[in-house]
Amino acid sequence: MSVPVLSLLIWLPIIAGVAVLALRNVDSGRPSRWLANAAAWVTFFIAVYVLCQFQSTSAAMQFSERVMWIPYFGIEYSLGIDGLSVLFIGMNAFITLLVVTSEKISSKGSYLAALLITSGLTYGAFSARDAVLFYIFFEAMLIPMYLAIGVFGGQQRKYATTKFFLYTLFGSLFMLLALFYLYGVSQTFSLQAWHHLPLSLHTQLILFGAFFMAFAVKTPMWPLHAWAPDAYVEAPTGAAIMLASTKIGAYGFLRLLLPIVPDAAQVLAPWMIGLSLLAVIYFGFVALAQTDLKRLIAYSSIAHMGLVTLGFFLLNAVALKGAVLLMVSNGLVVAALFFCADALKTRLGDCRLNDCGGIVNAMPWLATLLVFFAMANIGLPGTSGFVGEFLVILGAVSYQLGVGLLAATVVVVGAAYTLWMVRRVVFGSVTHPSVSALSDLGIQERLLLSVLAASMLGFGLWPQALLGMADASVTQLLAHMALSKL
Amino acid sequence: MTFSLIPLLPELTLLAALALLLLMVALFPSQDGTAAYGLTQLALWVALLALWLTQDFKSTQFVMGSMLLRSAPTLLMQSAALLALSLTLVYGRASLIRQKLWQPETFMLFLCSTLGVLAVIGSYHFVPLFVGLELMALPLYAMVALRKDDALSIEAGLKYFFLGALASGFMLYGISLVYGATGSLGLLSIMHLAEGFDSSNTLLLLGLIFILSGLAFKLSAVPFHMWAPDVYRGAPTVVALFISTVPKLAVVMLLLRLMSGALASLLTEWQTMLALLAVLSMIVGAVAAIAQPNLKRMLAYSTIGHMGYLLLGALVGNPDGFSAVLFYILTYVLSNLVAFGVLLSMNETSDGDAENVNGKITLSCGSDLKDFRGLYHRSPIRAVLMTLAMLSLAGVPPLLGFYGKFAVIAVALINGFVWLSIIAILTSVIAAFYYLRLIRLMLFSNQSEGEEESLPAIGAIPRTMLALNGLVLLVLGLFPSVLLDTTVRALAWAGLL
Repeated sequence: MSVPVLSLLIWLPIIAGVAVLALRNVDSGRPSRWLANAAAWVTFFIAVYVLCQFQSTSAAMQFSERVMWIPYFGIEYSLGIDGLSVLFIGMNAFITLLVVTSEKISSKGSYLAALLITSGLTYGAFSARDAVLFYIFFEAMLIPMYLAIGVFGGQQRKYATTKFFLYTLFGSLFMLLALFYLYGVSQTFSLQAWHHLPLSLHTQLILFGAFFMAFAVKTPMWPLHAWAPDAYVEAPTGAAIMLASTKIGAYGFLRLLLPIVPDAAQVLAPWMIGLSLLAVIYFGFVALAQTDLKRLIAYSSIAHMGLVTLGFFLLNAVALKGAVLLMVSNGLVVAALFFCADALKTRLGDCRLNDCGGIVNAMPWLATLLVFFAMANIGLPGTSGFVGEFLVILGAVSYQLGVGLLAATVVVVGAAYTLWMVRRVVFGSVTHPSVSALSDLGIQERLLLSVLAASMLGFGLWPQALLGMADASVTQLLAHMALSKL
Repeated sequence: MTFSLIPLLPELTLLAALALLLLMVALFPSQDGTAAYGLTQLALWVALLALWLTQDFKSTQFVMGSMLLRSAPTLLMQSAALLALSLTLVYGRASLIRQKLWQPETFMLFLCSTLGVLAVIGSYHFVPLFVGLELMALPLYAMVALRKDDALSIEAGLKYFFLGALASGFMLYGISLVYGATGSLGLLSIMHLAEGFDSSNTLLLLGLIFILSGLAFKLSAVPFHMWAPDVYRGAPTVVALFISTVPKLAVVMLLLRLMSGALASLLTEWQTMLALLAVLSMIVGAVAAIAQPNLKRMLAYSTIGHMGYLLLGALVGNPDGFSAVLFYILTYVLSNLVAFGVLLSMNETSDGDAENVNGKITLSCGSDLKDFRGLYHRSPIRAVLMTLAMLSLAGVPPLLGFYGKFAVIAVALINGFVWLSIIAILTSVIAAFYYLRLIRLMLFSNQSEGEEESLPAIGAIPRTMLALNGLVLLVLGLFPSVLLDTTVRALAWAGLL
């Protein structure tokens, strides 16, 4: 019998997280920090092993594990990954590693524990092949996130966490109803079986609505996004990155919504495209109006998710691959930008855009990297953002010229707020008295941000590394969706 | 007619313990509750042992003709009742001492009521059923009013007594109507006699309505819930915990027994009425709890809401629904024990000796939500356990409470009760709000200023048991099949409830 690699990925961080929690007060928390770092590194290497062993030519589920879990309802502990999930497994490992290892010495053990447990549950959600198992991982993630933001977050954390929790719970409970319905029809909770379950269009439309509630909240998509900016801003940096970079909501579209209700997705695609474009424009303008750096990054991330969902619902291979690439790229960029905001915040005390003009004089390293990340956010050729956006726009053009033109235009709004942000933060005159006295990034921060920059550049120059992995599964997903289930 | 007393050993054990306690009180009038507490715990565990030793749980066995029933579900529910009381007393020990209720009489009342609970769970005839119900209820009235110098406690006791007496009257009237319709009081013969009856049989229908009203009162289902918040608030917290768990086991069992057996021919009428009760309970339980500044009142509304979910499972009216309900009540009892266990470890008389509430003197402080502000900084273990309990009651995976809601709503939806399921989902989001609010207060708030009062230490035994109980919520959340399969199999073995 082979080693249950995916179970290791899921449970190692969770068990380590519990141990970290138990050890947090021992020897002023040194053992717990050591343990957290060790766990992050070990899971990272396991994830690297998974990426290396992954057969990218096959669209089948790999590393499968199956054990009957709740026989009464036929719920299985069933894991497996294909080309759609493997990228996010890698992404999650990378982000977890960065977030955990970059935590300051002063930070509390229970915070690291929450991050590790979230990370483990995220692996679970990305590799679950049973609907209830997916749901449980998807929901359980709320608890450590809720606690991490609520205990360690900013001034408005109580408001933000309650909103975050209730929004997500509200959305996902509708998904639960959909799962029950599908179980009633098929007597199984296996996602694989549901992919081939014939459903009438009427049913599909209702199920679409239920799934949409869950994933549109989590992604987040307009108009169910209201929790996200508050949660991102109030969350401590690590938690905000875990929340914004793992893309579990968008993954739900790929894993559940599109293959289970493909006909409804076809019917509603124009609406979804409209919503997505609206989101990109709307959030672009909202981002323009922000005076707080973190909030601007939050809106920028949400705006990019609009492009991702646009890529999903164009329903062609080019756009879908672009969307997947954009998810990875945006995860990296958002993480990098949040790290930059954190570096500024720890030095200045807050990140009001108007207060921190002219940091280029005091912090050349940060300024350089921030400009680079801004370019990646815009999608400058050579960065990972470019390939994703380009493919989505290409897909949009082949869908309909008008949509393509619109998609290309809305990207400009993104450029506008990003560049304006750079102008106000990096350049411009020094308004804040303490800016000139700022110390530049430390060696650890430089290393961290450089790794992120290198990965963006790497994927920008060699996108095939990512596309190759997702290729077979994307093709299979579209082929599956082309078969009507009516 | 001869019969063996062996199947009655659990009940007889409790009875013997009661008699012993009475003797003790008579012989040593001035003793405190320590000996009585030990005897009570001993009796509970002996009864539990007797329950498991004397009963072949794979077969269904009638005792005394068809008066009493011994089957796997009764075994399960009776064990749950005994265990719940045992834990209640462990958690409540310090609280009873602080409130000067550490007397043998207190334990006699608990034992007496639990004897009634066992009788209700094990009866298959209206006479022992009703006697059991009264045996269960009468001590409760006294227990609620145990704190003789507390106006709220007395008020609650009186309120509970009047409404409870009314409910008993309803119940009895309903039973007599059923007797009028069928000519029998044995559930087994009623089941045969009432076969083929429908709602055109007014006597039977009226009987059902009255009986269900009585049951709904005991379950505190809306609109028969008015007593619950006041009683929970006024009663000593130990008693509130007891009321919210042990008698519920008996009443749920009785409800399912009547619905699946004796009065099964009126299934449609059951469903209509239960649907109404369920919807109202879910909504009131979720909405009214938000405005409660007192944790005990909040938990009362939480119980009301949970009874709504439970009735949602019951109204499905097939074995799937019944086993979901049995599972649900067990998850609810386990979660509620933790919540109240933490509450019991808090200080009741935090603001000195007495507090003036609306001009009435009361001693029952320490359960206001504000007392939980920043609890994590004062006592991490209490805060963490309470968080687990709240998440479980709110039904957030992977805690045990989630699977209870999962089972009930899944069964309801699959059997076509779509709108009820949607209401259940919506109300559980609303309910999540107030459960979260307590977590927020405990974990996210800093210690309020000027309130450095220290909490009483938790004894080693209650602390261990509470921690284990909290861990059970998490571990059974990872392996819910352990409990779910038990209830499903119990029902399958028994064949009837």
